[in-house]
Amino acid sequence: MKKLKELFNQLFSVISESIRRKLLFALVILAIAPLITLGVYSYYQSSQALREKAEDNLTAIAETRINAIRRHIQNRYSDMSILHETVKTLRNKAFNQLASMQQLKKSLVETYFTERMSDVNVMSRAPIMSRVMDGFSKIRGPVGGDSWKQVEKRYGSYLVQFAESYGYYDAYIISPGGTILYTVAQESDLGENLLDGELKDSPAGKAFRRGMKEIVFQDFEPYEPAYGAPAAFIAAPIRSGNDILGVVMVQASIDQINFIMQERTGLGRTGESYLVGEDLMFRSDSIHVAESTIMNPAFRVESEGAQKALQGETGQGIIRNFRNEYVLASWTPIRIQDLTWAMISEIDVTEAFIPQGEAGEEDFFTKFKEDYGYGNLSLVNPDGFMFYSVDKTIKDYRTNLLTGEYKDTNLGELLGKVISTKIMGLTDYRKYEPMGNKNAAFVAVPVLSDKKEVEVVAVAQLSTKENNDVMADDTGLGDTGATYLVGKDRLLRSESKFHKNSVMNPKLKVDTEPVREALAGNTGMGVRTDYRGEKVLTRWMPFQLVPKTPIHPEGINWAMIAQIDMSEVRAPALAMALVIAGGVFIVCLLVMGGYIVLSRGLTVQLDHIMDLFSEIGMGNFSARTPVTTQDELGTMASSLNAMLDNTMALIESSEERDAMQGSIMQLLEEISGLADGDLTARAEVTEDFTGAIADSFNDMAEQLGEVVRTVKTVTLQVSTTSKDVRSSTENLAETSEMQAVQVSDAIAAINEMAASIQQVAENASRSSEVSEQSKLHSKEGAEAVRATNDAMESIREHVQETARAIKRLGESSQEVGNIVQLINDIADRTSILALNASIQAAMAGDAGRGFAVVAEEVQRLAERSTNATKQIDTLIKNIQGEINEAGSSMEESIQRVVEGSKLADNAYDKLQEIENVTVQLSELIQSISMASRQQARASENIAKTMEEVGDISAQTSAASRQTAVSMKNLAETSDELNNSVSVFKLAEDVAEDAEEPDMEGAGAN
Amino acid sequence: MKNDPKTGINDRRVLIFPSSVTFGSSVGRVFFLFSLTQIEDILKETPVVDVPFSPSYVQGVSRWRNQVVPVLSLEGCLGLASNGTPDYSERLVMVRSGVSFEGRRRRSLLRVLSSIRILTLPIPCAPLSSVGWIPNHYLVRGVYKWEEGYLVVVHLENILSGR
Repeated sequence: MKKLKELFNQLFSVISESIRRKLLFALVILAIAPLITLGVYSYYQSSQALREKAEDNLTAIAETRINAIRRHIQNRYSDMSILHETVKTLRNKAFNQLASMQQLKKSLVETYFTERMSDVNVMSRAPIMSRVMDGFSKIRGPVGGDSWKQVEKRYGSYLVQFAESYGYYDAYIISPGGTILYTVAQESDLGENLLDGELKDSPAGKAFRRGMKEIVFQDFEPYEPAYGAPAAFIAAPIRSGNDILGVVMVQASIDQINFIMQERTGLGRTGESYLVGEDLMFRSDSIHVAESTIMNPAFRVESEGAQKALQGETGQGIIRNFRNEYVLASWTPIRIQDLTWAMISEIDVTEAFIPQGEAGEEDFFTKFKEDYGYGNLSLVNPDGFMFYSVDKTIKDYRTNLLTGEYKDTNLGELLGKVISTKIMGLTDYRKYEPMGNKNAAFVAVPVLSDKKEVEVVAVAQLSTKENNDVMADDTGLGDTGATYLVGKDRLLRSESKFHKNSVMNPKLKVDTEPVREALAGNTGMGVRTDYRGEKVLTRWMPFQLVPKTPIHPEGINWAMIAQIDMSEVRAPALAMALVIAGGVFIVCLLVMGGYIVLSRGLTVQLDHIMDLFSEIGMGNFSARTPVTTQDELGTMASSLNAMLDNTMALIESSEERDAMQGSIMQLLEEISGLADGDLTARAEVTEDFTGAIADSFNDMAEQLGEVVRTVKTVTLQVSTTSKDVRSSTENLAETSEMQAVQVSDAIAAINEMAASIQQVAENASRSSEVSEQSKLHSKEGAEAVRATNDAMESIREHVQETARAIKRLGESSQEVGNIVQLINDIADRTSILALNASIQAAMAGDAGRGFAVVAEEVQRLAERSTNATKQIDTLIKNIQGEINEAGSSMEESIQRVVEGSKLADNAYDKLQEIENVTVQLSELIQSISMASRQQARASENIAKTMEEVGDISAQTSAASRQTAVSMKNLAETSDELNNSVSVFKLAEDVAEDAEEPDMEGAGAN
Repeated sequence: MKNDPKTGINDRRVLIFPSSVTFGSSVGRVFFLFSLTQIEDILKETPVVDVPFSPSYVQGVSRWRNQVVPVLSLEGCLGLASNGTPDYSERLVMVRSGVSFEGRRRRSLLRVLSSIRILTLPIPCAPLSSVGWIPNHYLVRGVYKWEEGYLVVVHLENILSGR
């Protein structure tokens, strides 16, 4: 510090030795220092501002990106909702289709059986059947013999026609003993015994045994006479009275039923309907099996739908059918007497959920995937089997994602959670093996049945394209700015600006502090080192891709990083610093140039002046300095030169001093007369320096003489004037005294006038009092009339009140009349009741005798009531008549009161007028009284004023006298003044003195 | 006729109500007389619904104990001309026949004037031999002159059966 101080002192002393150095130092300090200070400050401020702006920018960009991705995800959720609804709609549509189709077929099948059984029933009851039975039962010989043929010839055509008309394969006539007496088809079963023969356990045997009692339907079973083909029978007893003559039986054909079931309109490509018997075997053919499935033991239907329908339930659902395929199925039982079949209508889930458009058109899901930009769309069964995928080349198509080789993929895990929790879920990106380990994320939504069971899961594969598009937009990020997303595994979730193929690239792990902070849920900003090792200004924020759900208890959390290199942030500030430095340099140059120009002008002239002073110091007063500049220094040089010239001129000889002294003595003598008062004395004006003094003296004497002359003239005038004024003021004093006497007389007269006015005022005041009293009296009169009016009003109100009371009385009597009417009615009813009681008592005979007494009493009571009410009625009428009369007289009274009130009102109005007039009169008198009082006061004032005038007159007289005395003194004073200036001798005084001796001389002569 | 010794009630009681007609120039009115066993109920303020195209003696139908029953005018049945428009009160009397038709009695409501009374027999009266003044006299069992007018006993079975 000391050294610094010494250095500073040394430097300062060097500077202070030369103006040039001082100038240079000052210019540098004044010009450069502020500039440098400003530059440093600007650099600092701009750096700060740039950084803040960059931070704000990064924050805004990061938030924008996050919002964009959130919207993207939201849109995906919305898409999935649409997909969910679409799948649900397709499902419902398919179920409705199946249900309506099934209902129709069920109706047809049931109707068919009902009609067939009805046919057989009718047939069995036909009278001809008795004859047929009779004919066949009486044949002699075996079945098929001549006797039989005769009967067959007679009745056979009837049965043939019957069978053909209704499409039966065969028709039978069976004896009560079980012998088949006749068949239309005449196959091997003709003549067989169904009770103890080979066919006793066949369906025909069963049908016969049951048909002996009532009409029955025997389900299909293999029938040997039909070469083992399944056959069903309808049998009905042939009766004659209570006797059963035999059984008529028909063999039902499955063809008609099959024909009904084979109708596939509205069932698409894979849809079908079929019947299943209680033995779980088909009762109709399936279109998916080439051979016939009817009663085919190779094809048993053990599906959930068949079992439920056979138990009598009707329902719908997605089940595995007999082909072990997933189908949308609708099941319902069909009852034929005590037999139950199951009708199943189904359609493959693939076809149900994937409606095809026109030929060549894409299906719905393909279009959806392409329109909304998904990687793939697929449908998965609740057991994890993917039965549909838009992109069928992916290896997960038609595999089980819950139990198969891909169960450990992110999709497999997601499906498990979605199916168990039954809510929509989303996975993070991960390498997906079926897609060749490409990065994939998935969203899955379950479609639930009415019973909240998962029926199908719709899965969409999210592409990274949209994320990348959002993150790749580097608007506002400059050349080195970038935004990217990082997952929990520290792998990028969006393409990096600096590296290709960076998404989920294990070689590009981003394990920086901002990422760790953001994944921990913290937000921040600062200068950090990024994953490339660069110093960057970075903004980190947590981004929750998926919130906490049962599927993701911790949610799916990513880190959003927005960064920009610090070098780019600082670049503008550095540029500005460079500019400032350049400016400083230029200013320095300018300062140097200015210094050079200035210093030259300054120092040259100064040097010349310094040389001159050196010469003068050596006594050389003839030295002069050259004037090299036009500024102050040049002027100073010129002045120096002039001063030296003047100084030289001032040095003169002793002779010139003596001559000066003589002139002065002469001047003194000439002006001595003035001291004696002779204002005519004048000095001689010479050419030397005293000439000016003499001239000035002469002027002074002249002016002084003028003054004296003027004083003399004025004093004379003052003396004359003061004498005149004295005589005038003496006259004025006398006149004032006379005026004072006259004013006194006037005052006396005014006092008398004031007294009379006062008298008038008093009289007016008394009149006012009287008018007040009259006003009061008229007011009292009006009050009295008003009171009268009020009283009459009160009377009217009372009368009206009375009228109203009378009216109310009339109404009350009316009510009484109504009550009496009611009592009368009651009495009438009581009378009827008594009559009815008597009638009932009479019908009861002896038992009713006591009751009859009661009835008679009641009857008498009713009569008495009736009589009483009649009396009351008469009284009421009388009262009402009198009330009416009273009402009329009240009206007259009211009228009279109204008239009286009107008269009172008139009187009141008149009194009101009197009162108004009285009031006006009182006001007039009041105003007269007030005017009189004002006059009295005014006259008092006049008297006072006159007294004052008198006083003033007296004062004026005294003042005039005083003035006269003063004038006298003034005249004496002016005489004294005249005497005092008389000592001064003027030119006219000298002339007068010169003339007087001539006069005296003339007189003496 | 004996009075019951315990109650003092005479068991021969009848019900009469006036008709809306008077006979000839005699003072006194026509009354209809019924035995109490023929009367089942007396009703008040029961609505009667007209039956279009019905004969004039059928006043309409009404409801009695959840049955629809006809409402007749005895004057109409007998062919008696009423004096002006009868001012029927709101009384209806339910009468019944004594003969069972398929196990049921015939019933009908009669529209009557008020002043229904129960009298105890005997009533001082004298039978009239001539009933020619009643056009449908086959519907009348007998007519009796009494102090207040004429008592008419109608053939209820014939009326209710429509013969």
